[in-house]
Amino acid sequence: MSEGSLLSISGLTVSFAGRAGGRLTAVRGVTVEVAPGEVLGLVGESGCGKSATMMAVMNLLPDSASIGGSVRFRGEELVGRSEKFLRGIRGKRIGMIFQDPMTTLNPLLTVGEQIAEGIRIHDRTVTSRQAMERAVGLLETVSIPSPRQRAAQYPHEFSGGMRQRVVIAMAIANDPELLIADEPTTALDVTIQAQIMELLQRLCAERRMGLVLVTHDLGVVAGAAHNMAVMYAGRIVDYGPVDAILTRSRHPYTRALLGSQPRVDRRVEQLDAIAGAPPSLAAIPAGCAFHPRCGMAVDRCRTEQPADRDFGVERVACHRAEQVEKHFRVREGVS
Amino acid sequence: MTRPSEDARERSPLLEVRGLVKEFRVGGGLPFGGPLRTVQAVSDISFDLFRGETLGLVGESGCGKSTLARTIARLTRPTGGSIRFKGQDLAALSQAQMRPLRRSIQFVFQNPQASLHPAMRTHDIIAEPLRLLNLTRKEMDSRVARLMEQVKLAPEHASRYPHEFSGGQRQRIGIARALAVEPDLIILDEPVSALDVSIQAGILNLLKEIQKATGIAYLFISHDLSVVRHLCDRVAVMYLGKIVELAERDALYETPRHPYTKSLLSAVPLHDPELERARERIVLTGDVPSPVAPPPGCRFHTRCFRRGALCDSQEPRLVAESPTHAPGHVYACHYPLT
Repeated sequence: MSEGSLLSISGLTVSFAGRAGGRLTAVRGVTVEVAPGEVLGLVGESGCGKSATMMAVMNLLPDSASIGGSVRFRGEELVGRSEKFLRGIRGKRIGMIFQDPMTTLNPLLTVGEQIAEGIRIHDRTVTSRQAMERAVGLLETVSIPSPRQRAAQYPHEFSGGMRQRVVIAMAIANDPELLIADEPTTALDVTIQAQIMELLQRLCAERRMGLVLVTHDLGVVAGAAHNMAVMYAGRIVDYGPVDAILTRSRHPYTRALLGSQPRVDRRVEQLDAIAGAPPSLAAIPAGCAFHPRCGMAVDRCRTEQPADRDFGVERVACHRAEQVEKHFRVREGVS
Repeated sequence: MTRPSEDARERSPLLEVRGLVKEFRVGGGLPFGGPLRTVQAVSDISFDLFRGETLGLVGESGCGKSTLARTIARLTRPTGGSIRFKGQDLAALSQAQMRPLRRSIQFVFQNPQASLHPAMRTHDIIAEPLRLLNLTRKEMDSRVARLMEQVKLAPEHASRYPHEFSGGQRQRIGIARALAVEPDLIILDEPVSALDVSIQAGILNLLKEIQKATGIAYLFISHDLSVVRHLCDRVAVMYLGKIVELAERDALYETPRHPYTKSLLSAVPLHDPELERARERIVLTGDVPSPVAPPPGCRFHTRCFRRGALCDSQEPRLVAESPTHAPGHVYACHYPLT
């Protein structure tokens, strides 16, 4: 673990009790780090384990889940700690934002009351009046117009984008060092998404706050993140700076994902669809989990799980990483 | 090769929508409903759709794009205007008169999970619309087999239930069902939005292939501007119940004239980090106003970065500036981009 690390996850595993006494493994050994002020994009398709990874960090998984490996926050281990200890971290030193702001907010409390509640839970020396003042200030920080009036309103009086601003205000209320945002803009329209991403980036830069951005949208990551980790079937298969991963990745899955997506800035005649579908947790293929869908798979990929390999700034789990560049250059040349 | 829309313009349109209006009454319910008000979800919309072409309909949530589609398919009755389709005005027809025409316009919905009957096998789901056609058992089976092949489902899938499929496969079943009665037009309402990114491409490629083989027309509704650019020949942009710009795909994406189109395009993040950081981004302030009380004049003026003297009082009409330069490129703006 490097000296300046804010969050350091290593060898994290998460499994759930399945039917008939079996276990379903959602996260199979995740190792990743976040530095202060860094934005990490954690990307992958539904069921790849990206949300389970972040829920494990906060220990918010149901009792049927068992967590292995290590999660260190500012050097301190979080896995296996008491609920009392974690309560002092969650919502205080680590803030969270979820996809749907309406399910995060309490419909029966005014927006100001909810923000103030979050402040007073972690610091009883603050009076209600002081907490409410801070709530108004926070609404201003997240660029909500006329914050004093808005603080007295209920969530249903806010639009989707404004609600997500309120959720962000709650998440940063106690000056967290790390923010975990799980698909924070997926429920929003694109013009509102642009506003929210701009806000999150500004907050991270101003406060030297780390941000883990969990998303399926590679475009959001390209614009906001410094580093990105691509997950597939419970593992990080590709990890490094966004520039490297999005332009010259050495993993066939990342390449295939990029090739399969239509682009707004130019026309592509034929999209390179990826065959098949992501595997279910109950039937993760042997060897490399991506091999049944991979155009580069060889015998070794079917039997032997690839280890993490370092190529300069990029960390790749693929037996054929050296051939990826050539393979995709040839394919693009042909089409 | 000429694009389908170019030779399509020579022919008469398959669908001519003129001045279409759809109003809903909201509120008025006791005790918490508030006052009774009228919302114009679709407000004076006109456009043509040609055989074999794909018209994209884009806009943010609540702009009326789904209501427009449902009104055209007569899933709901229009308040005003006309929908000329194969020589008849659908807006004027009764439910009974509409019935023989229903097979000509089919719908594919966003969520294949919700639009497929969970207790029916794939074969029966696809065969259901065919029951209207008085086919023999044998004809029916061979037709279903052909449709399944067309959407690239394996023959052994015929006896399975929807829950046994992945999202992408379920959407293929939905498409096969829509194709079964050989419609002239399929309305696709966000058909790939619920699917994983690695699955979307397969469905988009399939839709293109089917159109090439059958010459079917699509009305493609989406909030995803990248998907629309990939699939559509022409694109209409909607804002608060109105079309604000309509053009050939490349003209719309490369030289948008309406400030809303421009800001919508600039809000879509690019996958290339260098391009993404370098480009000019217009971040609109504020939210879409409530359709219950749309702003006077141009409905977009409250968020517009080019707002001028006329915008809050005079409603701009949908006009073409230069019919020779960019035929069919129309927009509703007093101060268009150049």
